[in-house]
Amino acid sequence: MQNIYKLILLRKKQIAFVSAAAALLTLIAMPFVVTKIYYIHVLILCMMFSCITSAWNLIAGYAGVFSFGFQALFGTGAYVSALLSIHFGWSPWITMWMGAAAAMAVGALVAIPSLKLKELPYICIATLCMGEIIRLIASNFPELTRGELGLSQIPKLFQDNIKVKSYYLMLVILVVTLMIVVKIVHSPMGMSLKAMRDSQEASESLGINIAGTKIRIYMVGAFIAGFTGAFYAHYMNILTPTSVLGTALMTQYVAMCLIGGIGTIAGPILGSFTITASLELLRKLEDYRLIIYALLIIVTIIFLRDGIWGTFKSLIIARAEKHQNRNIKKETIV
Amino acid sequence: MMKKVTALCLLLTLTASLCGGCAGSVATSSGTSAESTGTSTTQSSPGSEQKTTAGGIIKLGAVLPLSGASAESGIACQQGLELAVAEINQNGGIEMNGDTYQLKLYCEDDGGSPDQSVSVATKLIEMDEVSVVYSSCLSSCALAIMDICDQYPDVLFTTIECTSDNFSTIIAQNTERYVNFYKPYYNSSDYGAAFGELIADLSEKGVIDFTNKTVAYIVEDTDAGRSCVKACEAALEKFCGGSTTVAAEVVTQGSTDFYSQINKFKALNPDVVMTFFVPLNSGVAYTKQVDEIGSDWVDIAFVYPLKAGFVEQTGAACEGLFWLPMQVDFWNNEECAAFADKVYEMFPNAGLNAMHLSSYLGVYMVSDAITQAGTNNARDGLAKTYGAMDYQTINGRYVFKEDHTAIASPEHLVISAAQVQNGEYKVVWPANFAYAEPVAQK
Repeated sequence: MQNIYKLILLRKKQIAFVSAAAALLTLIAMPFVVTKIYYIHVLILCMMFSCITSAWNLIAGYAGVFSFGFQALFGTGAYVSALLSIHFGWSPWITMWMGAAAAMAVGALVAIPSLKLKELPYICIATLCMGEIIRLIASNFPELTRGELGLSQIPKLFQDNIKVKSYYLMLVILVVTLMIVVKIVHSPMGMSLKAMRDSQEASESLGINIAGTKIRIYMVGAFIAGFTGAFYAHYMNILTPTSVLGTALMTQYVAMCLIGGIGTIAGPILGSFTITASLELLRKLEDYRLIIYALLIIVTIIFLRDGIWGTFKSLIIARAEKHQNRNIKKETIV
Repeated sequence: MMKKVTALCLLLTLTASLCGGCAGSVATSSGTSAESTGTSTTQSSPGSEQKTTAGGIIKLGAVLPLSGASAESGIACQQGLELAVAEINQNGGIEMNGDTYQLKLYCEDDGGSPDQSVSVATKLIEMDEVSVVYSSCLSSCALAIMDICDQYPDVLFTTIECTSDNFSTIIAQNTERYVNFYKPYYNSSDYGAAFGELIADLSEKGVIDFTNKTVAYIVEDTDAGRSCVKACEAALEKFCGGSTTVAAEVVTQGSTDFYSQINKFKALNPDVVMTFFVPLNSGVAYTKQVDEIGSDWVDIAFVYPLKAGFVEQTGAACEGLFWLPMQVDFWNNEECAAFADKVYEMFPNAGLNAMHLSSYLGVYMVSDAITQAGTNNARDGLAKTYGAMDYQTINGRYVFKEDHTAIASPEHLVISAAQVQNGEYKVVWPANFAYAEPVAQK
C-alpha cells in the first residue's frame, strides 16, 4: 500500500498517460465489442459532448470566462456547414472547416467587445444574449434555415451510412481536441489562464494581457465547438434551432462539466459520458427519467463539489499525502 | 466523514449506471406502463430478420414527445396506441399466416427533439427489435426519422398526424429510398385548401365580410404552423383571387400572451385572423384575450378547439368561432362518441383529442396490413401491402397517394370545418357534410 501511495505521488504524469492510453484503446476496441449500432450511436454522442465540454472547460474552467452562449458556436458551425453543402454542393469534408471558421468569426464578434470587460456577470449576459440572438436568427429566417421546420437532407459524411466510420471520425476529433487542450493547459498560456482565473488583477500586474489571452482562448474553444457542430450536422442530417441552438444545450454542457469536474482535463469527458449514458439508461424509468436525472445532477453538485473526477482525484491524493505525512512523522520520531 | 461516505456512494452509483449504459447485454422487457398488456418473453437473438419470438409476439415501437411543449399530443398518441394494442390482445391478437400473435408496444420519449427522435428510433429498432415504428406526431421529428428508414428496410415506418408538405416533396424525389415510410395523414397544403375554400364559401354566403381580403396569422413556431401559413396564402390565391397578409406572427409553442399581437391587429384591422396552436392552453388564452380586448375580424382556428375542455374553459368567448379540421366529431357522431367512452374507460383523466383516434386507427391499419401481407417484415411485403390499403374508418377512408401520404377529399379523409354555436360544435362546411348553417360571428 505504501508503495502504491508513493507511486501515485511521484508518478502522477505517467499514471495519467497510461490511463489516457488505456481509455483510448478501450474506445478504439469498442466497436468490436459492442455489436448494437445503438450503443455506437450513444458513444458517438458521448464523444461529441466530450469535445464541446472540453472546449467550454478550457474557457470557463481554466480561464474563468463563463460563456453561456457556447451552444451558439456549436449551432453556427452546424448550420453553416450544412447550408454550404446543401446550397453549393460542396463536400462536407470541406464545409466542416468552414463551419468551424464561421463559429470562430461569430465568437470573435462577441468575444472582442465583451471579453475586455473584467466583471463576470457582464460576460455571462453578453454571451447569453449572443446565443439567443443567433437562435432567433436561425428560427426566423425559414427561407434560409427552414427554422423550426427543420433543415433536413443534409449531405452525409459517409455515403454508405456505416456508423462505425462516424464513430472513428468522432474519436479522432476527440483525441485531437484533447491534445489541443492538454497542450494549452501545460503551456505558458495555460499558466496565464490559471493565473487570470485566480486573480485578474494579480496576473495583470505580472504583465499578462488579460483581454488578449481571453479572446485567444475563446477563439480556440469556438473553433472546436464549431467543428464538432459541423460533424453533428452531417451525422444527424437534421437541424432545428432548438436542437442545436437552444439554451437547454448550454445547461447540459455546464452540468456535464460540473459533474465531471470543472478545471480538469478528464472531468468534462467523464461528465459527458456519465450524463449521456445515464440519460439513455434511464429511459426504462419513463416519466420519472427526467426527475431522477435532475436529482442526480443536484445531489452530485451538492456532495461532489469538485465533480466526480475532481473528488476522486482529491480523495486518492489526499489519502496518499496523508499516508506519506504519517510515514515522515514516523521517520522523524525514529 | 458522512459527506465523504455519501460522496463515495454517489460515485459508485454513477459509475455503475455508466457501466450499465455501456453494457452489451440486452435486458428482458418486463411490463411497464409504456408497454401493452401481453406476454413478456425473452427477446430473440440479435438480428433484424427476427421480429417475432417463439411466444408469438409482434413488437411495435413509437417515438413520441412525452415531455416538453408537445407532451399533450404525445401522451394522447401513446394512450391511443395502448388502447388499440390492449383491445387487439384481448380479442386474441392478430393473425399472420394462420398463427395468432400478441402485440407488444414500446413507447419512447424524444422530448420533441429531432436528434433525440433518431436516437430513440434507432434504440427501438436495434435493442427492442420492433417491426413497426410510429415516427412521432411532430413533423420535424418524423422527418428526422424518415432519413434513417432506408437503413432499416425490414421495418415499417409510419407517422401519426404529421402535416408538413416536406414529406411529399422528399418522397416524390426518391420513392425507392422511402419505400417503407408512410404518412397516413393529409398535408398542410390540404389544410390550406380547406381554409381557402371555407373563406370563399362563407364570403359568398355573406356570413363573413372578406371585401378587403386582408388576413393576419398567429401560428406557433413549428413546422405545422409555419407551413400552414404558406398553404393558406396559396389557397386564398386560388379560391379567393388573392389576399394580403397584413401580419404573420410566429410565437413559441405553448405561448399564452397574445395581447401585443391582438392590439397590433386592432390597428391593422384584417378581415380574417387565422390562429394555429396545438396546445390547448394557447388557444384558450388567445380566445379569451380577443374577447377581452374586442375585435372586428373573423377568427378561424386550427387544431386547438378539438382538444377536450376548450369550450368549458373559454365559455362565451368562443361563441361563433370557426375552426378546422373537425376530423373527429366526438359530440354528434355516435361511433366517435363510443370511441371517446373507451378512451375514458381506460384513461379516466385523458385530455381527449383527435390524436387518440389517429393513433388507435394506426395500430389497426398496421395489424390489418400484417394479416393481409402474411408477414411483419416491411421488405417482405408489409410495406407494399400497407401502402396499397383502402381502409375505411369512423373518421374517413385512408388511401395512400404515390407520395405515401393520405388522400384528403370528400371521399377519403374529409377536412371539415365546425363552428361553436350555443356552446356546441356544429359542422358547417363542406355543404355535403354540414348539419348546421354557419352564422356570423358577433
